[in-house]
Amino acid sequence: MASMEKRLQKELTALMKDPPTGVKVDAESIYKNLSEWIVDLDGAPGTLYAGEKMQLLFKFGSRYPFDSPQVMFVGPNIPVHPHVYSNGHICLSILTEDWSPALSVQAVCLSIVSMLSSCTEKKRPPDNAFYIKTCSKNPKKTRWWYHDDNV
Amino acid sequence: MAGEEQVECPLCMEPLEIDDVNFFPCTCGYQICRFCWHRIRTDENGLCPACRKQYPEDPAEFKPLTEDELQRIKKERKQKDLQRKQKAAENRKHLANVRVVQKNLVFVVGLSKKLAETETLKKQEYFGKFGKIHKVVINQSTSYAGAQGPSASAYVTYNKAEDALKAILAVNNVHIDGRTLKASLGTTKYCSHFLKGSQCQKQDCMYLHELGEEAASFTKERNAVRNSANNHVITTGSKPIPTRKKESSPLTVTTSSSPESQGTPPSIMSNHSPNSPSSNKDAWPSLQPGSKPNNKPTRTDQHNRVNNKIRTKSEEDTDHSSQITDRFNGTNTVHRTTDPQHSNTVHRTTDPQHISPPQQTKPPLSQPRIVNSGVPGVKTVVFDNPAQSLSLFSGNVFYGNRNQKIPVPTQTEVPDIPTTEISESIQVSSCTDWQAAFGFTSKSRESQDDDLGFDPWDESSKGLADLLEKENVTTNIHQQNNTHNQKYDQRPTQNLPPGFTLSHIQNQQRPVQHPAFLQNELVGSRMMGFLQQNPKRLGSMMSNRREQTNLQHPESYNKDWQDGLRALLPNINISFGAPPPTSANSQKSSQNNHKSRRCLSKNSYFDGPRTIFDPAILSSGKYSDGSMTDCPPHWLKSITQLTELEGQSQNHRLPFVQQFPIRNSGWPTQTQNPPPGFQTRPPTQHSEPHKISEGLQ
Repeated sequence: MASMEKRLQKELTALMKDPPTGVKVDAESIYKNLSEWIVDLDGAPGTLYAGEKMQLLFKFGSRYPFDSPQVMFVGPNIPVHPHVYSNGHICLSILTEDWSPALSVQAVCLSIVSMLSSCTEKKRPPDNAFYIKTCSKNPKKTRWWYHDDNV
Repeated sequence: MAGEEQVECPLCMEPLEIDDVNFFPCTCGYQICRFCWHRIRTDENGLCPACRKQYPEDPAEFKPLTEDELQRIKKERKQKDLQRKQKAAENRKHLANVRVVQKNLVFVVGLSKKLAETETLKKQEYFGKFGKIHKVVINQSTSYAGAQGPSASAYVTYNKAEDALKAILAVNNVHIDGRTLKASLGTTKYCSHFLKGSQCQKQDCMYLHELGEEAASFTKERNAVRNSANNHVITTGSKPIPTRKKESSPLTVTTSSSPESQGTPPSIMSNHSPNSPSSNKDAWPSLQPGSKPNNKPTRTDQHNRVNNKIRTKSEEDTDHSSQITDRFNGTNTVHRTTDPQHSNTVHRTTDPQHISPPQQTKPPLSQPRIVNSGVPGVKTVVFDNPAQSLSLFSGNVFYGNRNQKIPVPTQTEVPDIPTTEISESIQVSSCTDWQAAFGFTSKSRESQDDDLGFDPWDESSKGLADLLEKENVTTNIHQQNNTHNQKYDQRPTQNLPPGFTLSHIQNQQRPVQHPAFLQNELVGSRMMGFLQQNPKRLGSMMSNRREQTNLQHPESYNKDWQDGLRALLPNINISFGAPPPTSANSQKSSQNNHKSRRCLSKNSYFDGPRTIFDPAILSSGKYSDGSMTDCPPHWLKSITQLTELEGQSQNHRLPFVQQFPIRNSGWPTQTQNPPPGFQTRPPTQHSEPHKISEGLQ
């Protein structure tokens, strides 16, 4: 637990001090509770999501960074993307089984931005309607099939 | 190995141990500490976080440091550390003795023990009044007090500098609890971390972390001088300080004069009226340190208004008697905050409140306790928006109840519950002083007088007369309790709507009780004391009343009030449980509790007080208890033991309960931890409040 806090604190400091483009931590949201972050993302220019503003919600468990955080889109704009369900869940392998403690919030954010950026057609995942009805609130509980390696 | 000092494990962010420096568990060269490595290999997937290769059994590269290297590194580190520290210390060493005046920091000395609590001072009635407070730090050391006896000092940091000034102007030289408060701008020193050049990890560190203004900085020695000077400047700086004009309304004649007569020490004010013995309390609320009797009223008023937001002359008068205002506040707030609540509840509950004012003006002082516990503060708490009540006056209530120490003379048997009567007749100087000083009731007081629009005493007397006529109850019982009930009775009567029957009235009465208890409950730990003292009264009188009716026609009575209740709450589906089996057991009581609690919780703002409510009910159960004489069940005995105080007064009523063991049934069983020893009590209680509350659900 202590290590999780320490790590988050450091990550936060680093992220605030030197944020990558298009990534902005909502420090207000973290003020009370270090284990839940809201991160504002900007769609990368020159991509389908250019100009869009999105919000990611990170929830860190006490085993972070050895265990992956819960990451999902929240807020008014859930980007339309073949790997993003309309309830905000993201199908991204590094968020579950491919998680590595070497990853960080910043890395995850960049991965997601990159995932969005490489999208060629804005559409929901094919099983969106079914998934959002049946899924758990916690995207980590979903058994993802990472079938698409192209995006 | 260069710069290994700074190297942290990327996973746990702990600095690498010296012998971790050469530890590279994976062939990819990704370095983590051995602790994390161990964890990954045992608890996690065993993959290198970077390259996701399985960690080999043995670290890929690990050259333990030689003893020499170890020594060398250690030495280097120490040196560097030392150097860094020295550097910083030299840079800022001279600042260690420097104190910097903070424009938003108020330093107060002379706080009595009671006040010397962070939360207390933050309250709206105290320093919270002047503006948003960032932080309060209390220094319990008594060294500041000198002749005044043990008193504490406090640093109150406001968000805004103006607020701090306001506070200083208002508080300086105010006399409270036998001590004179002194307030000035406070000074701060530099944070030791800052002096050392290191990062301060304290989140809310109030010390300085950057260089302060040169002009505001002083060394310790100079500071002492400076401080007093400062103080002086501040107090005298407020030149146009007229005293607020004093008008005594008939209501408060006694009280308003009380503090003075009590002999508040001559104000020590530096400037305007050093000779004026006039009450300091005057100075406080209006933020006017000096009191000059001759000031033009208009000007004064303006000032008052400016400084104290809302404050009319008449209000000022009343604020001298804190209790009075308490009550008024209760009433007023209810008026103002239109409760989104069930209209019914509101009506019923406000009724008593409307009528409550008469109590204050009423001459009979024989049962101050009842009066007090019966109503005033409670409503505040109960029906008011919590936030508001808190900010405006509920603090008052707390104050009055909690602090028995407040010099309410012991004329009454229950000194801890100050009542209007008490304050009027007894003239408590420091108490009123303080409350007045902080302008306790200033905001809520507006329009209190006009609001009534009638003479409450007259009205309630009429109502009482009506009541008396209607009641075909043996007069002697009534008379016996009349004194007790007097005030109580009048409440409902007054607002008796046409067509209301006596039983309605009685129904209405009950709910009043809750607020009363509630209020006291808020005082938390005082609950026990309260239970032993007040409920006895309340309970006894109530039980008397009920007895009267019940004894005559228990069944019809029951039905009567049920119907009445339905009439009262036409929109609400009310169902009553079948008359319960005769075995009065504690379950019942808990059911009752449960019920009423639920009803309470229904009101959204009630969340807080909900638990508080319990005891109220429990205590209300007392009157029922009291009514069993003949062969009290086992639990009853223990209760009686528990509440010896009540014993005498109640015993004669005991039979009642036996006759009508419990009328509430079919309610879910289960209490939320009633206080120990109390579970047994409520069984017999079937007071209307519960049922009514049931209806509200």
